[in-house]
Amino acid sequence: MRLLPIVGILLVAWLLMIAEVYAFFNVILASEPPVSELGRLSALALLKVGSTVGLGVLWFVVMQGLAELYTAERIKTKTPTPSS
Amino acid sequence: MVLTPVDFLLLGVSLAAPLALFLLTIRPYLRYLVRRGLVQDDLHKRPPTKVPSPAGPLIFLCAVAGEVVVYLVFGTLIPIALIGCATVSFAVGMVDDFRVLGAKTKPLLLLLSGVPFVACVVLDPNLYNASIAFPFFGSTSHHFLTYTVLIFAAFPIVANAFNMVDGFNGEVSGFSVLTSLALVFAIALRLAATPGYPIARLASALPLVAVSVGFFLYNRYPSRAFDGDSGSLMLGTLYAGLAITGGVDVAAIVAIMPAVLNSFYVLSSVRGLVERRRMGGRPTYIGDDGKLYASKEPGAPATLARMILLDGPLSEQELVGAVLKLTIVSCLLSALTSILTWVV
Repeated sequence: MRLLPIVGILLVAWLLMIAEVYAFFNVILASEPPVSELGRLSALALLKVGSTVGLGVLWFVVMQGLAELYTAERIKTKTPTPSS
Repeated sequence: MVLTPVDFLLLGVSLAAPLALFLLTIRPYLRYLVRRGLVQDDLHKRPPTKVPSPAGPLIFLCAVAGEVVVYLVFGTLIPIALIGCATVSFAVGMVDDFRVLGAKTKPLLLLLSGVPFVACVVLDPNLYNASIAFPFFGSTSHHFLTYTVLIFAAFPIVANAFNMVDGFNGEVSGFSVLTSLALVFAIALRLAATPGYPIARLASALPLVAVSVGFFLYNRYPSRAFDGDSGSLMLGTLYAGLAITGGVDVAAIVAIMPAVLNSFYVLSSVRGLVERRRMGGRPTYIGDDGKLYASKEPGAPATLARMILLDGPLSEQELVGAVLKLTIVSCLLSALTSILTWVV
């Protein structure tokens, strides 16, 4: 039972990671302009960079949020201290 | 692809040679460390015991010996590339074992682990496949430049992830045993499902399993050997290299998810790369009852161990057991990912 919430976090991380890596390789990289031309400043190039950063931020926010929820809940109710 | 008895024999040799070498040499090597005074306090014991460290050099030499066997048997560049990246991370770890490296210097130096890979891909363009295979969707198109950049980033990330789960008796060694088995499963499944997939890619992964199993026998509770940074960084680098050459990147990342999350939570809680000896507090501490407790200090890093202990104190064995149970879950998810990718 102790590990169930962390297993839940692992499951979310698994699904999010597969979805994001797929989005990065099959949607962002596959769209025009090709990555070799990213140096050419264009709206699409900026959009690709922005989308990549967005994927990273999304992973960060979700994982951080889940951990903070878990930690806050545990500190509030369960964490014991040594009796002596 | 159907394996012949000869294939099984060659795979058996790739596994047995490094394991036998490790088991034959570990005792004299540990005695040598003790004679030289190379021992480290086991801080989770009351009173702290002295444990020989680092066992990293022996783990490295046995892994290299296994890869040399694979090279002699199969004549492919894969083991050479793996030896190259493992050598770089081992050297970085050795420097860190004896002269502590800065929190930013270590990952920067570990970026160099990618250099042998890129050097070898010049000689053999089939060393790795610059696309990623997904469950249901199949493989992406080739993105050589992006994939190669990601290779350079992968080595320090995975090596540090292994290094950061090296906190308790049997933690990193048990983690390495489980994840390397998940890696072997993924590569074996790909071998079975892909015509023309070289068996050498599977054979190259077996020395990692061998040294991980051998080391676990000496690192499990109560530890008779610590690996040091030279061991954990090298194990992580070898794992990353095998995931790349095996073409099983997604399954490999899934298997090490507990270590990735552990690193992520530590880095986000201490706000960036901070050398562990300089962190604001320890994530856990030992109570008078000998059990481990989660620290409530605001500056303490949010490790996976601390998260588990927030639910109540545990003995060191129970805590490591909990971490390894989470690793088993992630390895099962990795196996599911492999099956959905290569079988369904």
